[in-house]
Amino acid sequence: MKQSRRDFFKTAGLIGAGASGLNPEKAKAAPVNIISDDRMGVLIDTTVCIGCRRCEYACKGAHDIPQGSLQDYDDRSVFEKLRRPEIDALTVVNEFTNSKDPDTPIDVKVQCMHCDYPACVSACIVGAISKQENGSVIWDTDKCIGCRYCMIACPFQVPAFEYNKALQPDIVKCDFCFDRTKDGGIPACVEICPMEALTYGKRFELVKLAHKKIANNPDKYIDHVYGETEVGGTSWMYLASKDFKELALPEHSDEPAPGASEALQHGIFKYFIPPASLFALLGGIMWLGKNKNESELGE
Amino acid sequence: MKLYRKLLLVIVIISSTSLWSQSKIQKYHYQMPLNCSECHSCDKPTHKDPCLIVCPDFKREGLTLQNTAEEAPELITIDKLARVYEPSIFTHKLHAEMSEMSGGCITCHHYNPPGKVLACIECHEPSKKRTDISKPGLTGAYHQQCLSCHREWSHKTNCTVCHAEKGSVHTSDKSEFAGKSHSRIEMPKKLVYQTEEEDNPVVTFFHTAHVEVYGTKCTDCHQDESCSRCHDMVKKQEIAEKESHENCIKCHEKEIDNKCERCHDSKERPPFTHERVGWKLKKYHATQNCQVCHNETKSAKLSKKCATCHKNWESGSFDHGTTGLVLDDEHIDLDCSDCHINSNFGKKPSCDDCHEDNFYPKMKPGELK
Ligand code: SF4
Repeated sequence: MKQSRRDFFKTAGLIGAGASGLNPEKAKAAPVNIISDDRMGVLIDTTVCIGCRRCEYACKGAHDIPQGSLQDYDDRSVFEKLRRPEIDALTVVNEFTNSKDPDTPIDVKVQCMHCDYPACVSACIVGAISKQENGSVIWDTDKCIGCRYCMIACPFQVPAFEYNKALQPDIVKCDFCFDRTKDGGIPACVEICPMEALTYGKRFELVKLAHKKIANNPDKYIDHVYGETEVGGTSWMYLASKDFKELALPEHSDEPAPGASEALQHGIFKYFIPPASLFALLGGIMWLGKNKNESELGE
Repeated sequence: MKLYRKLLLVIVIISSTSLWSQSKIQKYHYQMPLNCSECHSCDKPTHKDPCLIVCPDFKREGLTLQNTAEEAPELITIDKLARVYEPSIFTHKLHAEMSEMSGGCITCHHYNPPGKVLACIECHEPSKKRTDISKPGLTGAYHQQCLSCHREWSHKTNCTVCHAEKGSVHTSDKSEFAGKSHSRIEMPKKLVYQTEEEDNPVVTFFHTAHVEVYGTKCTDCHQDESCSRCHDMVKKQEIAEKESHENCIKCHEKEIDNKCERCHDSKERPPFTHERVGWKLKKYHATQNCQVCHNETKSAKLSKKCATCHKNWESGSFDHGTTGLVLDDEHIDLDCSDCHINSNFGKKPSCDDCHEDNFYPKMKPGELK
């Protein structure tokens, strides 16, 4: 997990080598972006969600983040502010007023959407992020150098940055519980959700299900499955009773996010050799400096 | 001997087939408003191979449940999923009673094949890792049903509202839940609505009269009632304001189209009396529901002729005593129209219509009761 000073030089060296054109083959870690027909997804029915925040609780438990007690999550005052996923909360639930029925506000769980054409995968200059066969977009902590390109690239502002641990510059986001799902398990949030507002299944089946639900309840849902086509399609999709814009889900075209179709790091290596090298160098100096401070404090 | 056996066999076969066909006939399931394919997976289902779809997923109007709240089991312990919490004791009968004004048993039992009331678990899988994603699993099914009302009126989603913490004594003692029933719903006598109508904004609705005199059933209007209508004071007000023509239209369709003044007035109205339409009801008639006479089109004007309603009044079948006069032996066998000329029962017959002798009126045609 921890990247030692020597490891960093290895990575930096690799980039340097790539940048100076010595051994580009080695530097080009082709991004992994597998689009399997059977990839999994989750359909979130926001008309069913009650904002109990059990998903937030379970998510922390599954990712070794301090959870607190279950009762803490009954506190609805957190809904006063719009929240975004953070390093210590990979999924959060936001609440919106329901003009049709003020007694049943609309709760919307937010997490990584696990795009089919993830902008973060292309943006990552070290190829740390990948889209796996089961649909999960995951990252490799060992490779991440903390450049935060993925944060900027993400059309849903999902990745958070672990600022607090300078020794482990790391990007953090929902990993679709890859450790559980790769062995046939289901994501922790899906498992705990008492309302079963989250349906885990094959993405193509979820799309069918979503349209069937809309057809059966045209008064209940707006005729739009958010994530079916947005930014080229996402593994997590939403159903709602009102426009997604009003639920803080950004409006996107069906085109994959800019740059998502091509590997950004390749472009850098090909055309922007000096800036890339410079960035690596600057990054290295910053990292060494921080590390020094840390050790001074520690000693 | 052989003959007897054959006969017996024939009787057994006949009776069993007729029993069988009877039980089938009662159900008439093919007459229900469904497409065959909603329950059967093949084109030509047979008795041998009905190719039934287990728990089909169709809209709830499909089949109706004939059961009543009285037949419902009183308490149900929901313990299939009790891992984190103690099992929940569900006051089933109480909820069944309450549901009578909010959609009935089918609110929860939305799939009802003939003959059996299915429990949730028969269609909804207890495992969170579902094999069929088209319907929620058992946890979801329970919570979606319960919370759709509970959340609305209590504004709470805390687990402990329904679930006792594991280890608490709560569930072993059910006495707390037994024998509960919804308190009687007090009916308002009248409701006065201020509508947005310009000229005649006031509508006076006589609630008790509609129920007791006009024979309107509670469920004629209160079908899709939510608990929060009464249990949530904020909402109560809002709904009352929204109350519009929807409920009235069932009976007053014609007036809604072109006779606003039938209900809308500039001020509050006095209650309806039959006298206003020109016929004061007395004795027997005053105790009747409107429908007893106005059965087809409820408010249609009826002829005052008794025979309009009392079609089967004939000598021999009619107990004249109900009018207060028990006919004597001489008069009882006469035809009704012999005394009631032209069958005009509204007019009291006079003795001299038939009798010229002067011994009347001492001798009545019978005994006055
Ligand atoms: S656990 Fe389910 S119902 Fe509760 S907030 Fe999360 S998604 Fe909504």
